[in-house]
Amino acid sequence: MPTKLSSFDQTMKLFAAHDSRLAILERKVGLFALAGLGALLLVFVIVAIEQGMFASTTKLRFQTSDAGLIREGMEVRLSGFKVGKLLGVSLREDGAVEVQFFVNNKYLPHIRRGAKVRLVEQGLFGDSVLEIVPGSKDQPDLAVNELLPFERQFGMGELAQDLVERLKPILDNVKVTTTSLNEPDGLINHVKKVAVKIEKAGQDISSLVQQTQGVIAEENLKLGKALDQSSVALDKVSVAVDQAGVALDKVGVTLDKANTLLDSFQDVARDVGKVTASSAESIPPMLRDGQVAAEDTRNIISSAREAWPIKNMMKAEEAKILPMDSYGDANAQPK
Amino acid sequence: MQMHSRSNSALLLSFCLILVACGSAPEKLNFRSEQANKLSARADAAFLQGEYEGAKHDYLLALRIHQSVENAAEIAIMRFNLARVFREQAHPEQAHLQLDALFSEPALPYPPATLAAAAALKSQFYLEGNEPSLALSWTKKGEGYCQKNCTVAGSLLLLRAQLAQRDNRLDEALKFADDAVAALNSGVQQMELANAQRFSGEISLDRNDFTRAIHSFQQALALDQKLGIPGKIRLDLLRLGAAHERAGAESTALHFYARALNVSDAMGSVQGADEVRAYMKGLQNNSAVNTPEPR
Repeated sequence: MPTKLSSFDQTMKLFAAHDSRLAILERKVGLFALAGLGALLLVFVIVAIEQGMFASTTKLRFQTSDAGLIREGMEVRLSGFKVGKLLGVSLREDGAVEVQFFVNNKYLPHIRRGAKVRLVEQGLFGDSVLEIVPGSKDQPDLAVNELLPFERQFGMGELAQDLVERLKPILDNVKVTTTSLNEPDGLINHVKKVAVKIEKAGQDISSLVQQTQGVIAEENLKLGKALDQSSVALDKVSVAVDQAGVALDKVGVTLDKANTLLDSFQDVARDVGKVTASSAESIPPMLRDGQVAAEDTRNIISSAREAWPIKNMMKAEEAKILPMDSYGDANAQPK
Repeated sequence: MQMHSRSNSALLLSFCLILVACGSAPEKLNFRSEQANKLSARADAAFLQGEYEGAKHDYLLALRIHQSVENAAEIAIMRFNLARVFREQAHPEQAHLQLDALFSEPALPYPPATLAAAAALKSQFYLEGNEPSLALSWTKKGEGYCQKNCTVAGSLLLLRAQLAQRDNRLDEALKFADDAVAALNSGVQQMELANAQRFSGEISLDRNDFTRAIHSFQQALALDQKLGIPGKIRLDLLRLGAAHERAGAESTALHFYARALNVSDAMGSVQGADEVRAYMKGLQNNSAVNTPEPR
């Protein structure tokens, strides 16, 4: 059944009938469109391969109590290499967070049972990545969908928090020690009181000795009386000695307290030592780097100074005779 | 073909220039000498800034280092410079000791030019110590060491001029001073040249040749201002004032005295300022005497 053609189609048919070039042009356009589609498809395929869509993978999982910094699509690394990707995060009925991720089968032989997943922050402002800590080589292979243990590495915030938590008991200890030292019946006041008592006892003994000497000198002839007096004086001396003994006992008690305080000081010092040791791990590398950089700069400058033509431009220092000034001292008197 | 040979020549020339440039680099000193030279340069700067204690310290250190490696030329220079420092610190006996070490055993092969400078300095010390006969003998000794074009030839002539002036041989003194001016290099010996100009002006003033005296003092002032030595600028201004006063130009003389007073005040020299004021007072008294009484 003949169809009715529109006026445009009729015109085009008329052109095609009279101009063979139009047919060739149609073929060329068709080929171009086909090539374009082919290229687009190729790009899709390449991207898909790059994304690992065709790679053979194994699904694994881990559980955590907090999904912070964990997001879908984040990289999974093994010894710094990207080996997989995080597939999804879901909250279970018991409140735990379950995370699924896949690992390229190519790298699976390196990850054995006993391996764990660690969330690592890259530098101060870097992204977080999941790092797989591989298990021992003699362990069996992992099963599909196996649950791996999970841990978080401390970031800067956590490190600061940790430092604060470690320092807090130390500061509390220092505070308690200081308070105990300054209390009315504390070590300092106690030592002061004991020192005053000892001084007083010393003065008593000294005055008694003087009195005894005076009595002996004055009452030399009256021996019996003098003996009586000296026995009294001796009694006083024995009382003073008793007082001194009591004072010494008190000193002993004070020393015990001082020992206790020293113990708490030792605790503080130990805590400070721990904090210092943990800081010592990060500070020396930074210092070493700075030292190396300074050394490099010095070497570069000294090498440049030695190199031609800079060494010719640098004025060599040499000993010079001071200019003669044989008349008219600056302070000379005019004639 | 011609172009090719031209570019070859240019290449060869460049290569030769590079070789010459490499070859002209000074020989590298050993570590000790380099260290001593650095100390010496620091001492030079301290001396020029008037920090004599620092200069002495650094020169002594540099001297010890040079002595440890027997750098004869540098030892002579350090001793000369130390003598200059001791002179500024008013320790002439210490200054003499440093210079005497250069003329006594064990003598090292010191450069004659430095020995001539040391002899000239000794002569100057004796002249300042009012011992003209010893000064003359050391001047002669200096002249012996000083060969033609010796750097201290001008200074030795200036010393001769001062010795002649002391004996009131003004013509001879003026001739020596003029010879000194001619011998001194206007580029590297500006301080000594200014001294010679000032001395020549003083001899001219003694001979009542005011025009020449003023000219010499102006030359000295220009040099001293260029070098920036306040004490010497003050002296030049004072001499210019005196020359104008003697020539009868009292207002000009007062102008120079006032400038000298300003420089003295700026230097913080109370003694110098008092001296200038005494000159100004003398000038005012003279003008009062010479002014006729109103009828």
